[in-house]
Formats: sequence, structure tokens, C-alpha cells
Amino acid sequence: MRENDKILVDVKGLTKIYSLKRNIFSRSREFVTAVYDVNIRIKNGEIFGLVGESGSGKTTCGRILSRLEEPTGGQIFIKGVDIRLLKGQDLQGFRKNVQMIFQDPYESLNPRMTVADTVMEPLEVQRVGDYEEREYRVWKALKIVELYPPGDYLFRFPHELSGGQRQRVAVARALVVEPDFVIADEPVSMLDASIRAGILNLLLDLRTRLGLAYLFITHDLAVARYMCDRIGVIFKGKLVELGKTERLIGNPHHPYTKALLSAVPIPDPRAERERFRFEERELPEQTFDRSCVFLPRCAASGRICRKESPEMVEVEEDHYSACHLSTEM
Amino acid sequence: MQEYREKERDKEWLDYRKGREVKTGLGGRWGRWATTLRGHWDIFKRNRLGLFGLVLLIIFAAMALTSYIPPLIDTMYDPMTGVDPDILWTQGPTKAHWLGTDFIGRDILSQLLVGARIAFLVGITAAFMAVAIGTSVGLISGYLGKRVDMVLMRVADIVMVLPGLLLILILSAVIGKLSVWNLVIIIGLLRWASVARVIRSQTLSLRERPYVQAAIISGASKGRIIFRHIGPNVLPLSFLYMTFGVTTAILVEAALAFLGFGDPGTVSWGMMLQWVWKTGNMFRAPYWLLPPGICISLITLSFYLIGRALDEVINPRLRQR
Repeated sequence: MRENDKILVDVKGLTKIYSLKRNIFSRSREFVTAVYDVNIRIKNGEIFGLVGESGSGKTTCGRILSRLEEPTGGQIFIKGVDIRLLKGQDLQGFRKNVQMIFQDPYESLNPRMTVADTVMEPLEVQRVGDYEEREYRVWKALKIVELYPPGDYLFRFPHELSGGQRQRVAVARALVVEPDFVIADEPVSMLDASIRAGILNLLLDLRTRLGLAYLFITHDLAVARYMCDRIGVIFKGKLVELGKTERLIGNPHHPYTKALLSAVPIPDPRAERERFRFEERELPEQTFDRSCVFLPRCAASGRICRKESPEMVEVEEDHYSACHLSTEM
Repeated sequence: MQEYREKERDKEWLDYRKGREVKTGLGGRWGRWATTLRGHWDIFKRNRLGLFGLVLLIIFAAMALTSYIPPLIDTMYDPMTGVDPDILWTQGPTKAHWLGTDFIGRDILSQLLVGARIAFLVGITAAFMAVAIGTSVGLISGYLGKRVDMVLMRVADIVMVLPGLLLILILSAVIGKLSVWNLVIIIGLLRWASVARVIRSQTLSLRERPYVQAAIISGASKGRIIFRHIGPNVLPLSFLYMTFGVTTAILVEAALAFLGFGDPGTVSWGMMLQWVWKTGNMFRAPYWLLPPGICISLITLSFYLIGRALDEVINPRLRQR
């Protein structure tokens, strides 16, 4: 489809800096940079994976894109509208377009609300149809997420459901308003391996059926590989490598991506993977402008890495890496 | 999606709707509420202690209602003004006076019945007032934070450090005798602060929960999040405080009455105790002393037990399955 090439989400120079609460005794304010100068484009119906270790700022990105938090700098365009400026009615429209699936299905459902209440809430808030219409949509959404028959689940409370079922309810809540863009923040990391595949396949299936685009946040490269069209690797708040899934996994350019990939276990006890190690040093104060973020851990750093922060460079078609040495390696 | 227009033709959906209406006898939203309420009662009735509390409460409620009957039978049964002309001093149970009479020949049973009415009025209204104010303030303060929180919590601090009983004593000295309703309002206004504190701290933790954030992403307004998502999750605490509140309100009223600061125009259990004590019959007339004392204890107990059982209904995780 031609329409699929249209850019849905355009993130330009996204930056989020938290200022820690000032101590009464110290004058200086401390800052933590969670996300620094992140540029992402997501097309219609595309699954974009954001991969990184814990504390790398991937969740913060998702929270900013869903407007749970305000960015410190940068612009975010969703369907060509800068979401930082949205207010009132327009914001409601945005809420209808962009939905989120949370990590922990035990926490993301209100324990006092039945499945019907939970899934119906976005419809009530958005004033979609009358009660009958809403109930039908809820019923339908439960059917789509394979809670079948829906009538058996409508009036249950979250504690009466299993983890996988809860996550399905959370997915139903996200899609009942028919969004274009869903932010999935580690949607399977709290689930058992046996349920995981079911949820992942459901999400993939929904993409083809409803034409959803996802921002898929995960720390698990195997999951990202299975799900995503393109992957962005984020380290300490900075995007270090970005490219099509097969290329990025098959031919990683950034040393951090290589390290991540070599850490994925092979399900064969005899197989030994060539380990790409990095220095395990404590990370010093972040110095985004002056040197490479990965420098403290990089085993192969050159002189230039200490002086300049690397730009994202196109190393092959549609594959970018932010490493001074990646072109040489 | 076009699919939603096909509602009328979706056979499975129509079957489901039919089934639901048969089950509850109601359609739509009301059907859902009926099902939920029935489910709640099923859970409540499994709690033996809660049922015991409910039975006690029903007995007290029946007492409060029957309190209107004795004065209709004979004017001498009027709890305040009715005097048995044949009796000059307090007397034990007789056929005419089942629980005996007090020092001027008033019927103790009819006083006890009216006392239940007063206890209900004072206890429930005062506690409800305190809990309603406290819960709202706590929720708003906790969720909105910042300056609103600052102001509301300082007010709560001030209210909390006011010495309650002393204040009531001073007020009654200044204004004169306080009516029962004044007392209710004062107790309500003095007791909300601690509730607000607890509810606020609970709100602070609840507002960070993912389901609250999911609601924000759905586009829910602040009011909706406060009263629909956070509110129901703090209600068990509110209920607990309500039961405590009823208890303390009844006890405060009894204490004031016993100390002689009660409303002289109403008969309450505390007033009865004061009369026993004042006339020196504390240890001579158990038929006069014990009934109001036991009633105060039991009504307190019943509210506590019911609160516990309701907690179980409202907090699904406490349920045993």
C-alpha cells in the first residue's frame, strides 16, 4: 500500500532532563539526562523497536510520546501535529490516536474495575456512541484479543484472570478506541515464556488487521528481532544505532549493539558464541557533547572518541550508527 | 472500522445480549449494576462476623424505630417528660416498666430506645461528615499536589492539633448548652483531618500506578481519575475510618453527656449514665447502669464488624476463593 510509506511519528531531537530535588545544603542543582537528542521516524503500520538496557531511557521515550511526561527539548510530530502544543479538544483527539500497553499487567488494570469497566473507559471518556454501542465495541475488542467468548470475561475482575489474560485485556483497552499508534512498553517482559509468544503474535496479527504502528520498547533483542521492522538501539539516553532489523542484527556496526547481540544466549549448551566484551567500568558523569557516550565502556576507542560526540552516520542503506570507528570496523 | 456497524447482524452478539438479559432480568447498565450488587451481597454474607455485626445493627435500628411507640401507648412512657405518678424513686424491673424506672419515675426502656436513635444520628452523621470531608480533601490534595496540597495539609495540621474535647467544652461554655446537631457538626469538623492525612498518603502511592496512567492515556479528566480510579481504591480505608468515626462520635457524645455538657433536651445513653451517676445509683441500680453501657459497647462493635466485612467486599484481594 502506498499509504504505508507515510510517516506517522516524527521525533526530532527529543531530550529529557530531570533535575533532582535540590538539597538545602548544596547550592548546585543536579541533573540527570534520561534522553538526549533522539531522532526517530515511524511509518504507518510499522513496528519500530527501541532496545536498550534498563535505565537507558527507552521507557522515558515512550512516556513522552504518549504525553505522560513533557520533554525538555525537541519536537514530536504525530500525524504532522506537534504533540507538545496539544490542549483541550485536540489533546482528546490525540488520546484517541495514541494508546499505550504497559509492562506489568498486574498493575496496569484497576483492581476494582471489571474487564468491561476497564475496556469501556476510553470509550466513555471519548464519548463514543451510546451505552449499547460501547458495550458492543468492548465485546468486539475482547473477541479480537482472543478472550473468547467475551461474555465470560466482561464482568470479571483482574484478580480472576491470569497474567496473559490480563495483558490481553490491556491490549483490548488500547485498541477499543481504534488508535493508529500504540506504544508497547515491554509488553511481554513480565509474562511467562509460554504466554509470551501468544501476546506477541496477537500484536503482530493486530498490525496486519488494523494497520497499527507500534513503538515496541524492549530489552530483549530476540523479541525485538521477532517483532520489529526496524530497531533503534539506545544507550544512556542516546540512540547509537538504527536500522532494519535483519541488517542491524546480521551486521551490527556499533560496539554496543555487538555486545548486546553476543549476550543473547544460544539455546544449545555446546555452542559457544564469540563474545564481544566491553569494559565494565562505572559510568562517569554524562558528557554528551564532549565525547562518545559509550566511551567508558568501549574496548576499541580511538583518540577522536574522547574529543567529539559521534553523529549518526549512514553506514549502509537505511542503517545508521553513531560511532567514529564504525565505518572502519 | 466498519465492523461496528454490523451490530444488528452479528448473531453471536445478539445471543450474548439475550443471555445477559435473561440472567439479570434487566438490560444495559442497570443489569450490570444488579449483577455487581448481588455479587457483593454473596461475598458479605459469607463473613460470619460481618453478619453478626449486621444483625446487631438491625436490632439497634429496630430499637431506634420502636422508640416512637412507648409514648403513644401511655404518656408516662415518654422518655423525657413522662413520669409514673405511682413511683417516687428509682425502681427495678416491673410489669409496667420492663427495665425499671429512673429517679423521678421515667421508664428506662423507652429512654434506652430513644438513646439508640440519638446514637445513630450522632454517630453516623458525624462520622459520615468527617469521612466525606477527609476523603475528598485527601484525594484532591494527594492527586493535585503542589500548592493545593500545601494549603490543604496545613489546614489539616491546624485542625489536627486542636484539642477536641477541650474545644467542645469551651464552646459549650461560651455558647451555652450545645444541641445534638451542633455537636455533630463540631465532631465532623474536628475529625476529618486525620482521615485526610491517611487518604492523601494512599493517594500519593496510587497516583503512580500504571492503571492511573493508562486512564490518563485514555483521556480521563482529573476528576474522573480522582473519583473513579483512586477513590474506590481508598474507600476501604475510608470505611475503616467511618467505623472508627462512628465509634468515636458516639463515645464523645456519651462522654460529654456524662460530664454534664450534653444537650439537656435529648435523652441519650450518655445522659442516662450521667443521671445514674449524679443520683448516686451507680452501684445500687445495675438495671439502670448496665443497659446504656452495654448498648454503647455493642453499637460500637457492630459498626466495627460491618466495616471489616465491607472492606472484604470492596477489596477483592482480601477475598478467599
